[in-house]
Amino acid sequence: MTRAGINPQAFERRSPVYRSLTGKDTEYVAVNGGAVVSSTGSPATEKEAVTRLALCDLSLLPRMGFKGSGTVAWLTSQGVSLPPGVNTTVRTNDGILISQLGMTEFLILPDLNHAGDPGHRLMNTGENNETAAAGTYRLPRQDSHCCFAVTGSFAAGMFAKLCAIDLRSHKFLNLDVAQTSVARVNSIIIRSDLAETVCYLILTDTTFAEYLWHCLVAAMAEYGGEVIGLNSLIRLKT
Amino acid sequence: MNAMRLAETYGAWLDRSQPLTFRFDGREYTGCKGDTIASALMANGVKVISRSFKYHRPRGVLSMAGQDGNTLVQIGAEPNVRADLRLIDDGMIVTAQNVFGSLENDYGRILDIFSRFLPVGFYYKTFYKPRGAWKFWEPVIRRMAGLGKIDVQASPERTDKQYRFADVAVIGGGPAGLAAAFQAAEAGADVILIDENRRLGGSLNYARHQPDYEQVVALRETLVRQVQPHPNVSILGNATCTGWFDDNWLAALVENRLVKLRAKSVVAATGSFEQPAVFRNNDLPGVMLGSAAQRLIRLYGVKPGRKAVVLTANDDGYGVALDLVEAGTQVDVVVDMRADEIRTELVAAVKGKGVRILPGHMVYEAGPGAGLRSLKGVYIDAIADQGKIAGRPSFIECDLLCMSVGYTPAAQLLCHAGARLEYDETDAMLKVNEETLGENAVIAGSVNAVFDLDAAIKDGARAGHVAAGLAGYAASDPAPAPGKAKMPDMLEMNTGEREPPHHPWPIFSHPKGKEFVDFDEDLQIKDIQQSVAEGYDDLELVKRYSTVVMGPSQGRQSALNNLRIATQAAKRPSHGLSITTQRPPFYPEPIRLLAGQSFQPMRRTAMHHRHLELDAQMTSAGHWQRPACYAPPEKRRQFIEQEALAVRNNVGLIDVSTLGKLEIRGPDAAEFMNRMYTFAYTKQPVSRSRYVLMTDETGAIIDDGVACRMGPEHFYVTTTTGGIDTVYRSMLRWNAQWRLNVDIANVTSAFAAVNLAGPKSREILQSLTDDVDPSQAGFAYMEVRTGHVATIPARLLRVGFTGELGYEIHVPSSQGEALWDALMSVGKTLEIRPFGVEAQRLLRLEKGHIIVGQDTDGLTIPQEVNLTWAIAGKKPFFIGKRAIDVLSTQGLYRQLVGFTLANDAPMPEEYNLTLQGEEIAGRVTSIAYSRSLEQSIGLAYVLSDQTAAGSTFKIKLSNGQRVDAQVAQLPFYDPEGQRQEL
Repeated sequence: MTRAGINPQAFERRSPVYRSLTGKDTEYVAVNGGAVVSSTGSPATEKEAVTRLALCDLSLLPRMGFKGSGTVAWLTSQGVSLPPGVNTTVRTNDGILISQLGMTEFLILPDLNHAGDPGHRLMNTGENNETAAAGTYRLPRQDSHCCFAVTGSFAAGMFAKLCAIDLRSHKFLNLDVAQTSVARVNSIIIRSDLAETVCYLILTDTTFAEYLWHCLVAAMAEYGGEVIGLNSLIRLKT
Repeated sequence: MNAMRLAETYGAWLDRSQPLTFRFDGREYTGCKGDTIASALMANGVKVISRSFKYHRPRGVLSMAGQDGNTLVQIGAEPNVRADLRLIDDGMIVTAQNVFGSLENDYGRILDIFSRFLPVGFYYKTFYKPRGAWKFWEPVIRRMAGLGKIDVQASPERTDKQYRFADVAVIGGGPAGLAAAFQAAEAGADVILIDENRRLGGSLNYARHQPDYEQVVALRETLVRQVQPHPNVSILGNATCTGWFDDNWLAALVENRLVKLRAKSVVAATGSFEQPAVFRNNDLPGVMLGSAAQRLIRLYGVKPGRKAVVLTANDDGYGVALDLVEAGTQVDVVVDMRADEIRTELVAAVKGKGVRILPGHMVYEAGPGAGLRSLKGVYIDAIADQGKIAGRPSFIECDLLCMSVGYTPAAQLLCHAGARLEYDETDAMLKVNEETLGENAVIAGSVNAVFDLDAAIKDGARAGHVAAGLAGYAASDPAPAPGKAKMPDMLEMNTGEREPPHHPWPIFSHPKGKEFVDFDEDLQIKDIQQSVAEGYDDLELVKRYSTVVMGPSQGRQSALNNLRIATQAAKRPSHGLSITTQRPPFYPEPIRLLAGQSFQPMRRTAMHHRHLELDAQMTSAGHWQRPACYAPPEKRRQFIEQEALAVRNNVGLIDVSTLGKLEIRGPDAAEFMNRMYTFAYTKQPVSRSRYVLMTDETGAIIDDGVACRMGPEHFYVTTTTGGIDTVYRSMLRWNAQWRLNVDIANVTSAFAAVNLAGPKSREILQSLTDDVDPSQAGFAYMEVRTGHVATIPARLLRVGFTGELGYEIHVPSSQGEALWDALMSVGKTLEIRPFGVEAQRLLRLEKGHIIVGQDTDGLTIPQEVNLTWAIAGKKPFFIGKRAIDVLSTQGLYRQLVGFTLANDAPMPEEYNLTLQGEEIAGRVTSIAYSRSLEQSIGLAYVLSDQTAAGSTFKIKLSNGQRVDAQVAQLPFYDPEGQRQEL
């Protein structure tokens, strides 16, 4: 990993919202073939915001989808535990989140609470669109969807302006999943708290990424929300 | 100090440290922060705030709660503002509305003089004849109708919406609502308390309830202190609940936000509306509800009048009298409609102040001051019988008359949710029929006909307890209300602690009329009676004929008395009757709040910003933004032609990421493709692509694209930009029926794609790939390869939509911009030119390729557009096959043909009609000037006997002119197809 002087455009992989994050103090870290914003340049502001209301772009972090009639058996054969049911998530011991989106559809994400293993084997088992095993088909979630994290105690209130699902922390529990509309765009919302801080991962069709990013930033303004870098999220895990 | 402003012990909602200046009807006034427009005007001694709708009579404060139409004013571009609710701002300019001239001197008042010639139903009877008269009268009536004026140039305010959720929603922050909220919260329920006022407490903020007002203040503070900090309670203050819809979906207006609240159960503690008495000139400024006077005193520190008479039929009137006396208003007499002298603590307290009490009396007429602009005094008389006086009136001088003769439940929201209000003759009031309440609805307080303060608090606690249970919280016993009995007593609440505070007939007609039943519409007793006499004897009919209850107050002060008068006129019993239908909204909703924030989702490709940097003119395609061309607007046509020529002669690059993309994977993938599309796919070789054409069950074309066979069990399929959702949905639907072993994935957004087209495209690709041989021998037309372009993993398709050598390159979307950068960078030396959708449309037109949706319509079958070659006739089945087979036997009615125009001919537009003689033959679907061919070319539907190459047909231009077009052989350009197979 490199830190200073990273230019997102020097990488082949670019977040769909990287332009919205460019600032003179923005710092990047090379992750997964792209430049992820590690800090927006104001650690104190980020530290305060992350528990109140903050938005972080995780689009360049790896993720993978699997679906098909053989998926449950195949994932089980890979030695991972599966979520208890549709619209729930399980956090595995080796640093991934597995969300069940349908009877035979799963989404694999990195767990920011974990030491950080962006190259988990389930996300690196061949080209995105090849068949993983009989009846198990990969879905290129890394490119089909952007991924943002929304953290903090005001997150549910902010989402209430964009989404009709009750995301309050005592109703939408940690590791719950909602597949719903956010600002009129189909989205997957996964609650994956970082230590004691409420954190929602929101995944949306990547072509809507800039639109949704601006909707979220606008909705956050009322609560003093801030855009933060990945480091502020990772700091929460300890 | 304003003339009528009280000492600082009054006016709990004011901040006197902040004086404010505003203008009303051209004059400047001062008030202070917290004042409403009406309270500030009253403090300045201004009583006339508006003119009535029909007769232009002066009107002043009636309810002081935003529940009547007497105080509607205009503020800038905002009409119909309720002056008794809207707070003043420094520099605010308020104008009167619905006046001809000024508020003070309104020429429209002449209508009052001629009111006898404007009986109810006048409009319906008068203006429709003689024939054509309406055309004359309509503009006159329109000019006179309406209240405020809208400003069509006004810029919209920013508004938004918010979803909220609660186990229990409590509507109303009065004593019952506070008790209900506390009780439900104590049971563990998430409670949202919606209150329309600035401070919780409801009537505890202003009403007397008992002689010692300090006890009322203390009670309010205790109740609020219980609720406000409770962790389970959220308070929506200054919020008006405007609708109660299915499944407890509540709409609440909170400043510039529409809150959409969903609750498991709802407590309606919405209170009640005080009702006016009906007598001659009961609309004069200075005649107001007793509660309005109390609001002015307690909330706004305004003395409502200098000398007052109180007309009452309950103890609340004595509370009003007591408040007035203590505020310094001279109260000589309380006119009590009840026959017997009442002995309660309140009555005794009033007597103790030296106020004379006249039981069994009524105010028969209000005496107007000059121009009806004030109250000079009232004529009182003994009540002889229902609605009749003894005939010995006496005049009492006063400038204020307060009416406290009864209430009607504020049950509109309950009615939205299906509840029914019914008149109870015994208690002389409308009551909510509890059997009609929704399953998860509970009512409490005065809306539940509980008017005693202690009982209302108990009723609220009961309701909160029940609502929590309905929301799934098995509540323990309700906690005691402050200083009150414990739960068992509460559940055995006694609503009969106090006799009903409503007079059964506060209606006294006068030979000279002007006893207003409905202030909004200037309707008098005789108007209601006349409606019934003319046969409109049902309340719904009376409403529509007379317009009673149809004004801004929606019957809050008129529905009850209208029911009484109409049923009496119809000689029908009123017991059990309901009022007219109550519909949302309960309170006027600005349309901007209903609209809220406008979310307009927009899709951008990975290269979007590169297009903007190249000065692309973007065009919308559904949610997508696509470059139409890369040109300044004034050079659009010229640049489109140049872009097309660049592709023909050199090399161009177009972003085609918006194409729909599907992965069809599984053992039955080929069979699935065979069923979905018209062509044959089972024998399609791996690494080859094939045209796909989709028809519906009627044989009509619905989409086209390309299918790439990536493996024996894997097809990668493109669709049109706008067709992907339909195609994907259709595939899922059909396979739910077929149960083929195949997986269908929509990967449109996962791939960015470009088409590198033109004779020099191979040269560029060659320098960017190590693992794909782009030569004709290594990568032939219609073949597919996987490899890397600029080290980016890619799928490459040799397709020829533009008719030139070309490569469609699909890469992971996150790398799309890097691919664009690499191609543009390497292509720079070859003068690569980005081209937009418009140039592509021209290029494909030159090749005679159709665009589904532009060159087809909902009925176009493949034969009509020369796509018979794309139908595998030997296949046993594909969607639409049977219809196409049948239609094939019937001959074609129309066909799409290519045509050319003479160079000096005017240019038709797409969708201009084609003719055979003077009959419509079809329409032009595509047309453009081709710089390559130096000719105007197009596609058009003509009749099947007009298709011979070289024959001519006429096109009717938009201006009616006819132009000759000559049928041409397709394609126009490179008919041998040699260039795309270079």
